[in-house]
Amino acid sequence: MDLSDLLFLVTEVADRLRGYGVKCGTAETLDAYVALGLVDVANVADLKQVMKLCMVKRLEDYEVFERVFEELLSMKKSGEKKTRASEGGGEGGGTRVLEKARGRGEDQRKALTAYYSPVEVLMKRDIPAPTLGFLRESRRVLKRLRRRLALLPGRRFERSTTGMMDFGETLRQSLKTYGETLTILRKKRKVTRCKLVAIFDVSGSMDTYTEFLMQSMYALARQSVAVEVFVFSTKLMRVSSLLKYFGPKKAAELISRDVNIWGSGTRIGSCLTSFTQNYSGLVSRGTVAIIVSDGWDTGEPELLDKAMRSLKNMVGRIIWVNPHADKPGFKPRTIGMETAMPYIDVLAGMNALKSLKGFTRYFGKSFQPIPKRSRPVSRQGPPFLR
Amino acid sequence: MLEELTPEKLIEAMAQQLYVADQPLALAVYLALKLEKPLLIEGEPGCGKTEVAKVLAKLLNTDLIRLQCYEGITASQALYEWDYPRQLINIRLLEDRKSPEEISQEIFSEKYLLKRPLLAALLYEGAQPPVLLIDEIDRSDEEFEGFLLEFLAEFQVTIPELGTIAAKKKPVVIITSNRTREVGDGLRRRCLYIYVTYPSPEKERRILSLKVPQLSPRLADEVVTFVQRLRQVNEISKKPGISETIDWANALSVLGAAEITPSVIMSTLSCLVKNEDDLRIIKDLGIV
Repeated sequence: MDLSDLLFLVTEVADRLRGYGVKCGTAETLDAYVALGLVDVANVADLKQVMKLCMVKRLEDYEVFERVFEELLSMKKSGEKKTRASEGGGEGGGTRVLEKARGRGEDQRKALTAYYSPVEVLMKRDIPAPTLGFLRESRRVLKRLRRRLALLPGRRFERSTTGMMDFGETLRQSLKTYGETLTILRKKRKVTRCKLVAIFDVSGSMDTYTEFLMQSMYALARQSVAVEVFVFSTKLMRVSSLLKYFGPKKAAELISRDVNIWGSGTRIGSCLTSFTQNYSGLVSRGTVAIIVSDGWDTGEPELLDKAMRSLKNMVGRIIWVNPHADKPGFKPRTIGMETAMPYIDVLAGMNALKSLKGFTRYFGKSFQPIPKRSRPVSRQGPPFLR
Repeated sequence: MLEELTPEKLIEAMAQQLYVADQPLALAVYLALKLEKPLLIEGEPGCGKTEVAKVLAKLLNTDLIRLQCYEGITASQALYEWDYPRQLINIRLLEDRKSPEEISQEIFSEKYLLKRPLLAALLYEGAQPPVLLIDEIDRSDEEFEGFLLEFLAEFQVTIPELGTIAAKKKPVVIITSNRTREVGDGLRRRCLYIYVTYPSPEKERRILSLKVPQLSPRLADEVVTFVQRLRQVNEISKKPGISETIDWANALSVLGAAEITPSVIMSTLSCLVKNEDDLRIIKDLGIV
């Protein structure tokens, strides 16, 4: 394989990776090309390995890369002779080959989409992409929300009358007075933001809210690395990067492949348990967990109770958004809700999520600014919001 | 040494330092050295991510400079700090003899700079560039990650009072992450990326024969089989890594165990499993 062939291969792989939503920029392409020159590539496996190293930066994308590479290899094998024959026409021939490859890429992309969506129900449902306005608004709100809910002192300092001495500033001040220290300045950690973990119920009983939920999940996932999104029905699944890459519609298809989505019952208890067991590293006392569910649980309440208790111990606050809480005369009577109630800091209705502005206002009211230590679980239950 | 390096030679050299590297990892390290790019290694805990950097430092005959990340780590803890107490004392000593300008020039000089790992890596004096290990980057917060971006792109830092300090030799940078938090795209883009996972039985046997040579091959075989089976159990939240296997093999050889029986396993299981729930699950499922 000579160098121009390599260049073609590298750019083609990069192009297709981008087509699948993998972030692969010019820098990566260039790296791969340079790297291939540095390594004595003996076989296809080496070639693949080098390109994978330079162009794929996430474990989740490994699979996509394998697929793209396979595609190209099979294409190369079948199209080898034709390519050679058509290359007589100089540049024109080259472009034709490229165009052909692209066309084929489109076909395969479509084929892949079909492969990824075995659940028919969801294919029929049209989940429109959220409007730009919605995304902008939610970004603003989220930023405010993370500040409003802030729990722990962050990395930055602010000037303060108490706290530790600020040597640097004191010294700098004293230079003005010929090294005579007149005032001692102090600083303390600024309470800034919190991390958010949002756990969405996507079981049958939440069916009505699918469109809206997918959109808010997407809006959440796009915002920042400090937000993690999970979905569950009978199984828990981390979907942050999935949503970020594929957008709400495609992500819904991918999710439905793995989670028994919009179909059967809910096992909140076991899903939350698997969250507390497998993802405890994601949360800390500075994290706020938002659970969106109607509390219809088909699992054992004891399990849910245990899971909620350990979740409560892991995170700073738990907000439960129940779509029925907006309805007049709502009482948290489902077994799931009753079990979870003692551990919830705030129970909110779906309107809180819908009018995002209201969301911050709600929480602004109901939260005291920084609780210093973890508070004991309150017996009366959380403040109740409509 | 770097000039005539090939991935194959790297595998050999790492094996001499008691590290079993497979082809993809050796290739990754090799390219990181050649392209002078940081290498981001992600993977399960205890799979030898940190060890890569240690071995590499030995192999390149240079120093390992380690920056352990944690939640709330700040730029000043990673880069540099002024030695304030010494500065204060010197202001006192100099104030009669020198003008304020001279004093300020004096106390903001390199003498009073406390070098933290990143700056130490830039100012490293040895013949070979140092290996800079940025360990567990996922524990630091995103602001710190943002700060690292600048450092890794330019290999220079700006200290307001002193000016810009650029690296004499670009350090070899190894970054590890346990994926407790997604590392941002910006950082990923600047690195080569490799994911390491639990080893195959053959590789694990080779590791044991290198790391715990006193263990009989038959016992090593049994150890590997059991650990591999343990990793198949999905209910366990924290699966044993290679380091746990080595610990366990060491424990077995210290105890002089001739073969692995359920009672031997139960008494030494704490080497492999570090979580009470997991211990209970293993007992309940009857894996032993």
